[in-house]
Amino acid sequence: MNPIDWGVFALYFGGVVAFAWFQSRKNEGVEGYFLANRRLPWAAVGLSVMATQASAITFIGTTGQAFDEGMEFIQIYLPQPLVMVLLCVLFVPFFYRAKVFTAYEYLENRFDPKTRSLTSFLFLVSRGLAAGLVLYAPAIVLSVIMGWDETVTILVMAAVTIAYTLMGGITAVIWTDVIQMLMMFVGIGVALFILFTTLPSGVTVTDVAYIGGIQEMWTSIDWSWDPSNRYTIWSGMIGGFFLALAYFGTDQSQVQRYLTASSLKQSRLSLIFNAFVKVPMQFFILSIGVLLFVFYHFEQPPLVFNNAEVQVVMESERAEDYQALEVAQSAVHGERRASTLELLDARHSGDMARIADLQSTISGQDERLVELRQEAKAIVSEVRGASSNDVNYVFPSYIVKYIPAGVLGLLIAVIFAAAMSSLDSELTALSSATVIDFYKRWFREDASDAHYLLVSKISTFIWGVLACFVALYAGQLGSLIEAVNEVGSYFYGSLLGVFLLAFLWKPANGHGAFWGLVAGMGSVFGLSLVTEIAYLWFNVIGTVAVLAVGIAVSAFTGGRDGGRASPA
Amino acid sequence: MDDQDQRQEEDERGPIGIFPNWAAVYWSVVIYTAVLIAVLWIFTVVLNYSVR
Repeated sequence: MNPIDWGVFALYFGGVVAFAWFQSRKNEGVEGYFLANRRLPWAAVGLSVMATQASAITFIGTTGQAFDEGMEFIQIYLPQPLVMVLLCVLFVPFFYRAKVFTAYEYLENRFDPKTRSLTSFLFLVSRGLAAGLVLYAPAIVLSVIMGWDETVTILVMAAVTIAYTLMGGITAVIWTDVIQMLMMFVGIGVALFILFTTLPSGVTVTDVAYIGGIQEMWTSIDWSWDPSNRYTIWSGMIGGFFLALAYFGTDQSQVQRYLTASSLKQSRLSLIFNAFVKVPMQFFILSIGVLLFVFYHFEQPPLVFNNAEVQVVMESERAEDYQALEVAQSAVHGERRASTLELLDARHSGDMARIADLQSTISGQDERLVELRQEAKAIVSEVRGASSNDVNYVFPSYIVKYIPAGVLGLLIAVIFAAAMSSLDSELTALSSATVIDFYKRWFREDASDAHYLLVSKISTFIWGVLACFVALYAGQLGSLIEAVNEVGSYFYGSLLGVFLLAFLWKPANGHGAFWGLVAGMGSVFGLSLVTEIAYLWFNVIGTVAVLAVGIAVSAFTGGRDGGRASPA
Repeated sequence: MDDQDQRQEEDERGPIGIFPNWAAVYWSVVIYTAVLIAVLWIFTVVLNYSVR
């Protein structure tokens, strides 16, 4: 990066910290620290909800995914507007009127302490590790692409985020999320604009759509019923619906956001805002990936985008095989570039016979390039002994090579913003669950507000340090983290089942909820061992299992025996 | 019922921006989702230049 880029980057960091400090003066006590004294407007809450979900990997990973597989990933986001409606109708009124600090606190009001503690514990385990990955994933990408030291990148991101979260609690977090989300909007717009300007002169928007269409990159809806196919309209609308409902309705990092709104109406409006904006935003992020696919028809892409992986191969005995693939790729790319330019000429002059012929030629060349890339990735996997995943490197490697000075600093800042806006939310959510669901519930029930505020800040700091630790050692932890993450995906649907049982089934009791949760997680885990069902369906299975077992156990144990009155 | 609860009850009943009530807001989101799927489907069909 040149001095202009560093200037933009420094401006971003300075602005975030100053703004957080300015906002932090308005907090009062623990309720101020965790819930901003319930006085924030819907627009700020809505943008924070969006920023929490959009991590750095959302920004750089989904563009890479669209580069490889097109727009089909958008289907997972399509049910989100409907999820927001269900949250407004069912979830938000229960949480808001119960005046709880955490989603799990509500479960004790409705069921019993063991259900609350188990759900909160599951949240702490999964989110505690996820907070580390939120730091690790962009840091490793930036270290490979920019040559930055991975440890320094992690520590700088973490130190700034921990500092402003400690200083201003949720108020600082939400208002910095607002800035960070607005930066992401600007970054998406700038990236799309720059991509268009770096195409050869004479290539129009319709040409871009056309070239992408030859390889079906714009295919956004897949009506097929194959349950092993990861992204179809059905897995998106059904599995994605349950996943989004579990995430927005039961994950403290999201619930905490809409509990900060100044009224139930403001809380609902923040979610309705997301209902209208989220899908178009994701459409534009994925479009960046398809535009990159088109862009690399004219510029030669690397065979594998992760330089670190390539270097390992070059030092192995498979180096010659890899180099042979690179030579082949270069030749096919040259031919495809010529064919593409010829096709655009034929298209502009209306030569239909030539168009059909060239389309077929380019389609074959596209497929050959995909094969070469897969062969190269297979070599990387063989040499490294782990699967190659360079999806996260596609967009960053483009911006480093082709983006002009100043704009590069902005886009790197956007990647940082995406990571930090997710991490800050995780820290406040982890801290609130630790203090409210465990410390205050089980250890010190009657301490002063000042005491809880101090413990909350200590808890935030400890979770921040833990996230750093996980991020710094994530490379070595490797398969352990993947395993924990995978297990995490097993209980999301089950958590949702417990909340639905609480809201929808009046005779349900604590025993039903607890054993339903255990059965839900067990059934998902068992099915994952014996079938190859796409992960999105696990959420549906988990939810249904909890409801079925929860209702049955509640009936056999005398109905609503130990639960307290529902606050709704 | 305290002031806050009363204010929230009023929120529930009053108009929501350009919408007369919450039900209208929710239905607009449902229709919006259907339109999104339709637009993406048209997008999928119209921009498919595959020769396969």
